[in-house]
Amino acid sequence: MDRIACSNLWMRFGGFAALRGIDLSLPAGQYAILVGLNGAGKSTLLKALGGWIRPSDGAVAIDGLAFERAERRLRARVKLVPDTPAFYPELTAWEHLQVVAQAHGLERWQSEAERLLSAFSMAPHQGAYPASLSRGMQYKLALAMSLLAAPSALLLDEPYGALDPASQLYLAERLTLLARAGATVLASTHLLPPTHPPDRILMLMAGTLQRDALLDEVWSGSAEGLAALPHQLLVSGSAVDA
Amino acid sequence: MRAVGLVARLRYREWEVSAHYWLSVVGVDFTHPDVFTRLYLVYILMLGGLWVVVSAAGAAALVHSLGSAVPPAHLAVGLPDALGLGLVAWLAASLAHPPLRLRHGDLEWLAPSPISRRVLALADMIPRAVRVGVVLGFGGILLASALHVGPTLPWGALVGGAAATAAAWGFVLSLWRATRPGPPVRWLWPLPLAVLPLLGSAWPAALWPMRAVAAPLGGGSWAAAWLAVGVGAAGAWALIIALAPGLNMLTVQEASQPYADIRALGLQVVRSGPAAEAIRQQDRMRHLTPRGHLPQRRPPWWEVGRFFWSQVRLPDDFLRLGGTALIFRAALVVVFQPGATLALLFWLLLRYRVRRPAMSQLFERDMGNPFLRQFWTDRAVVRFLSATALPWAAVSAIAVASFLVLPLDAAPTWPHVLFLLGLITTWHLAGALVHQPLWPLLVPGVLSALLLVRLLRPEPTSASAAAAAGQDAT
Repeated sequence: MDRIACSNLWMRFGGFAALRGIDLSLPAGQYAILVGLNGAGKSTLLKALGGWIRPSDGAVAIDGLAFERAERRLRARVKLVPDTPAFYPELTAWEHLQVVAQAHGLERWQSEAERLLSAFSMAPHQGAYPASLSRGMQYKLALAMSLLAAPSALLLDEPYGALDPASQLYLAERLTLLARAGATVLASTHLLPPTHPPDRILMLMAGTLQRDALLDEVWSGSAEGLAALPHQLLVSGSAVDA
Repeated sequence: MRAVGLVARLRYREWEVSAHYWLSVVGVDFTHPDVFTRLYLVYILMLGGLWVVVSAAGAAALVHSLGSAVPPAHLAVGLPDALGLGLVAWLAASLAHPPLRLRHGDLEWLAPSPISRRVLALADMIPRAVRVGVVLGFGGILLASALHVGPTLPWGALVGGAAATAAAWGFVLSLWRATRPGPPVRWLWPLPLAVLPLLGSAWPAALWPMRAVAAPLGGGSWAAAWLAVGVGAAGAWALIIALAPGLNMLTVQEASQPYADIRALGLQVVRSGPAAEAIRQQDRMRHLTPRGHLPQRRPPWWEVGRFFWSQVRLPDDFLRLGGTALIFRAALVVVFQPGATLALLFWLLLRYRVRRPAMSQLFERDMGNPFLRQFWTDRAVVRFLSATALPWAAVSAIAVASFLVLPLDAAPTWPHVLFLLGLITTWHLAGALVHQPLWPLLVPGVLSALLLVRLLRPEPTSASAAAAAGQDAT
């Protein structure tokens, strides 16, 4: 059974269709990236897959369950990190991780939380309010919260753009490990770190899935080639589109 | 002069864009300026004008009826004190705010430019002084007309001038605070309030400008009044011109950010007050060091610790709980003291000052944003009960304490207390069920209830009046 699946997914905002009949299935243990021009519908697709918005038409299923029927159960399994996450104004960075552990009933979570904060160079700021963190650090905190919850499906909106190079490498490694452990990861991005390539690449253009390929089909195998891949795909995709 | 022209053009364009935006909100389509659009614009402007006239007439009628109850002798004693206290409050508020509130465009392009700070300050202050002068001048006209004393229009003009002068002095203090090279001192605003008790017996002497402004109402000298206002205004504007070049634009930029963010919300500010509140809150939190730690315990102690530290770290939340309790104080007045209109108005006005009501702030934060919501895996009803039990208990405790400590016509009994708790619980659950704050319904609700109580109260008949007179005679 596919971990994440959607069929004939449409999302309309007034007269504008942001998604036009997307069919997609992502199995467990796969790390995929979603590329596309600004306004192609990447964030909308992630929100629909994460159960944040109700599609105008079509169906979304996680492990075969629809959000309408099993919203609470799926909330524990799926996590989406948006490009601008919201936080509790009165809680510190560390206390946000505490809330996640509390809500998910995690035992002995402190060492993992410390590891995540330290890997994202957030340890010195663990006692700060989110309002005093920069945008990049806020994104790192949201990533740490989501990774601490160990979801079986992780959706990320532009994760690498907000991060420094060291954090990009760590996140790529962490996402690969998460996928090897059986989770499904889908990240929309315009750039890729040179290590830990994704398994699959999806290209969205004007609300339609224009390309869906395994990595070997589109990548030469060099680190430079991997980093330039989203750019190359988009340029060739735009040319095709035009 | 080039700077004056540039700033004047920018401000005019801002005004024009803002006017277009708000007119487009009510359906005036400037992208197709045909004859129907123009007709609709005239219709909207006439409707707006009518609304202003009707509101002003309503305010005049209200002030008139209230004013006829105030003897002129009391006015002569009370007015200078009231004006003096108003000035002190204004100065305190000015010390808490930046002198200039720039918009996003100004923050990006105007603030970092070498443009004259004096021009920027005057471009901000002159329209503000005019606005304050016109609004309070109108208030002065209303007051004079309501009290049937003195010439109405000249006194309105005098009050307008005095208000503009007070605004200019507030601006001077705010400007002075923002001319320091470093970050502005945060806790200066209580200074005028602290000086008040220190004045002691010198307070009446310090009130001489206010007495001069109030004097023409009782037949005093107009020349002295205008002289006091003129000298005050000249001093304030001279200081503004002298201080403005030293304005620290870093301070202004930092302090303007939340105002610019709120202005950029446009219509959302009207539709969603919490969005503007959240911006102000984020700005405050940026400068604070967290106190205490969330307890690492299991529920329910974790919820207790979270509630406690939320109230300590966000005093606004605590004020909101107090504001909610004040609603029930007003309800108690309606039920147990139906004739006490002034007491009711007092509690409602007090509540207006203490933020909007809420018992579900924590729940709203848990469930209001999809990113945070996805981390809570318990049922929504369980989360609601867990996150709102303690705020409900706090509001109940404050409301019951006010019932016991502040006397009403009826002595509190257990049924009364149970009635109050039932009222609070119903309000709380109803608010959660309809997912809308019930506050907008409160004022019309309370006023209707008051009216009903008045209408349903039996009028004393001639026989009962005679019996009452007989009792008085015995």
